[in-house]
Amino acid sequence: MKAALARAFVLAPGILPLSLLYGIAAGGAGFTAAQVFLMSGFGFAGTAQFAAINLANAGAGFLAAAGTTFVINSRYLLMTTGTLQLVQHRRAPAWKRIWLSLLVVDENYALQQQWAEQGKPRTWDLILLGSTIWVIWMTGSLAGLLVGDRLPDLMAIGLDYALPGLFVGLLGIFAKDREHAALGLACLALGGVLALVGQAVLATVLVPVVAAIGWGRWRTP
Amino acid sequence: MSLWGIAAAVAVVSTLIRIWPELALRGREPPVWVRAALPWLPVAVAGTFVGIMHLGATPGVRIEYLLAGAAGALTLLWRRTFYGPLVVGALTLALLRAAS
Repeated sequence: MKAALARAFVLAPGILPLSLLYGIAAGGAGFTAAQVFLMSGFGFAGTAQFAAINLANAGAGFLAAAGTTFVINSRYLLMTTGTLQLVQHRRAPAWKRIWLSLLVVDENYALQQQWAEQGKPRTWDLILLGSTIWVIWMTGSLAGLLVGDRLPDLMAIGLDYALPGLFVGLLGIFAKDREHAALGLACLALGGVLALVGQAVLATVLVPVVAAIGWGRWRTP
Repeated sequence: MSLWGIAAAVAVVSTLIRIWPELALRGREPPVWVRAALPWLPVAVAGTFVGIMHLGATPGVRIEYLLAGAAGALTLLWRRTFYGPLVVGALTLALLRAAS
């Protein structure tokens, strides 16, 4: 339990500013607390939620939002399958596997995989990790919506770097041999270049999934 | 109604995407091509997000993030953990902002 909470709270300085920002932006677009609760609680996906705000500002409706969310979040199909593989040997009941699946998000997925490299976390550990991150995201979203304009500036003390810093560390951990390092650096370069030309969402959606599937097929005899 | 529609779309589609693998597999092994991809997915996700979060940062903070990332990455030579890059990167950023 301690290990799950420690991992989740490492993410807090990175997730909180982002969720506060989301809450402020959602309030600006006219979303109510109940609608933010619905999106953060069940959507639980930063990129898709920020895209939803843009759609709201553009006057879009259900179908446009559903299509956009599907495209942006489609990578979770593969990530959730990866998370379920971590508990495959534990024969967890279906409700636990579904609960665990609902908590998959990029940061949580990366932390789960890192934990699995060090040992074999229990299903409950992974659920607790994801649930804590979910609570932080929900709290930040609602706080941003309700009191965002009265909060201190976290950027002055460098806390906005927590999330990028975390991913630098995770890249170092996952690049355990030359082949993994080569793939990680190739994705870094491709993702970075796409982000530089304003295609960060496209990079988020396509690069990791296409790279992993392509490399996996190439390496499998 | 439009905002409720958007909020509902995000919630419903995200939920369906996340539970689909469990509904499709029901505890069974995934197909071969998925199993082959899974060992490479974590490093691909981490690499992509490092690129997006640093080079895709707003122009005002991009150089700061790159310097913080370089300082943080140096800690990986000592120990492969995410605490080092996170703490050293944030400290570097705070120092850069205090100095400017």
